[in-house]
Amino acid sequence: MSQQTAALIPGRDEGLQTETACGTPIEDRLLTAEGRLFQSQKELVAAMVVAENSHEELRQMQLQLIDAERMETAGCLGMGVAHEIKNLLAVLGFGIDYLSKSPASADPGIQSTLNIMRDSVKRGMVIVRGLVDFSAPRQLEFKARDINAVIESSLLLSKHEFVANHIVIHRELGQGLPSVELDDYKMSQVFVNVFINAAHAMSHGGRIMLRTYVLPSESAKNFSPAGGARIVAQIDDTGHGIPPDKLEQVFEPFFTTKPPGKGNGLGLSVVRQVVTLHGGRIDIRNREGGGVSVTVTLPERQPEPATACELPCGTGLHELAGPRHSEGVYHP
Amino acid sequence: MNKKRILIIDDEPGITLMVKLMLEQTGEYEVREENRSTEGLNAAREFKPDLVILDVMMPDLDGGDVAAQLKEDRQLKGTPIVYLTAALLPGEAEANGGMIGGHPAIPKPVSEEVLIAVIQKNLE
Repeated sequence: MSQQTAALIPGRDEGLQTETACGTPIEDRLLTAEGRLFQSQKELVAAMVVAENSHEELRQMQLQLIDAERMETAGCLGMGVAHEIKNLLAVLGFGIDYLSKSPASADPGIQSTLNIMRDSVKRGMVIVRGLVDFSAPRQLEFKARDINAVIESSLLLSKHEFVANHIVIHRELGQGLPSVELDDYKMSQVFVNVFINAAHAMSHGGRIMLRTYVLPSESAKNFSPAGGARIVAQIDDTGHGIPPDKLEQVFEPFFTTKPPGKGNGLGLSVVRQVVTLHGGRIDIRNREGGGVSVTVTLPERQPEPATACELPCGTGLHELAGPRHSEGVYHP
Repeated sequence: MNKKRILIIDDEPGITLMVKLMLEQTGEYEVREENRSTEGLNAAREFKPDLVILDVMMPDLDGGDVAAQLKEDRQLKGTPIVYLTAALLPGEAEANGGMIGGHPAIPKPVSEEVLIAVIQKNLE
């Protein structure tokens, strides 16, 4: 008997001596008790592991809920901010147009000032569009699509970035993959965003390796409430990677590691929102050999009803369609 | 030549002033600006505009309410309305043929050129 077990049975040694002295077959009973004790210990350890796992799952779910609520608040805030900025940009834009017609605008200095202001208004609009994409309610139209085809069309849309940055594309696209229920416009937005990020991380050239495959069923079983397979699109690049201490923040709105003018920090937050609305997940990690690996995992099927899904925040126009407006300004 | 009368109702004073300056600079328009929709409705009854440029999201009455009240007014019901709004999402107006609630809609910001083209088209 181990010392551990002996320690778990108070007075065990004394009892053994007593019983032995009386000639009782106590050794057998002790062995049986010891066996039961070991078994109980094993069960206890297993139960503790299960409890620990459940606790961790619960913690993760709580974090996700907090995150979702935070993103929803940020989305609503974003719509309000976008509306206000658009008004201000409109004033500036009209002002620039007006001043451009004045005789003073013939002065080269004034002309270039007006041009810089006009460019700034355009850049402001790019930011606003990003904000709106992040925040706006959107009907997603799910249709069964070949994920490889969506990737190919996204590659075409990003071609200018690949050419400009001398990027070579390697494909290992799975054959005969199941169709995936997705909104192909929004999912293209996801892939284009990831491709452009990769291209910007390889301004002196590099490679993008694309893989698509079905997630092994054992890994997928926790993620498919609607049943069906999970399809993975993996995008690896050979760029400079993401500083490890920044990896946690890459999905935060307005977080960017790009130099000024190269990105507004909304791309990946929009990307994650779109993937989440598809019931999927997106993970980003640094590759051991350098560069970044992005995996987008999507369910084959959407939970019923599989026709539409909407982001949470109103724009105001939708509210205008309410019953008090006999004119019915907007009917989505 | 008679100038066309344009009424612009928008709660952003910078917008109404700039539109007034731009349109009057052409010499073809007489513009009245209002920053509150209730006052805009009164101005419409008095000014009798040939066209109304209307914001959508305003604090007192929104653009939909103003358009509905204009439509109920015997003298103003035929007045063309053009929405000039920051509430449109990219592609939304296009998805509805450039219209919301049966009226042309222009998303902010917009260039002077486009604004004047839409006004001219709807005055024809």
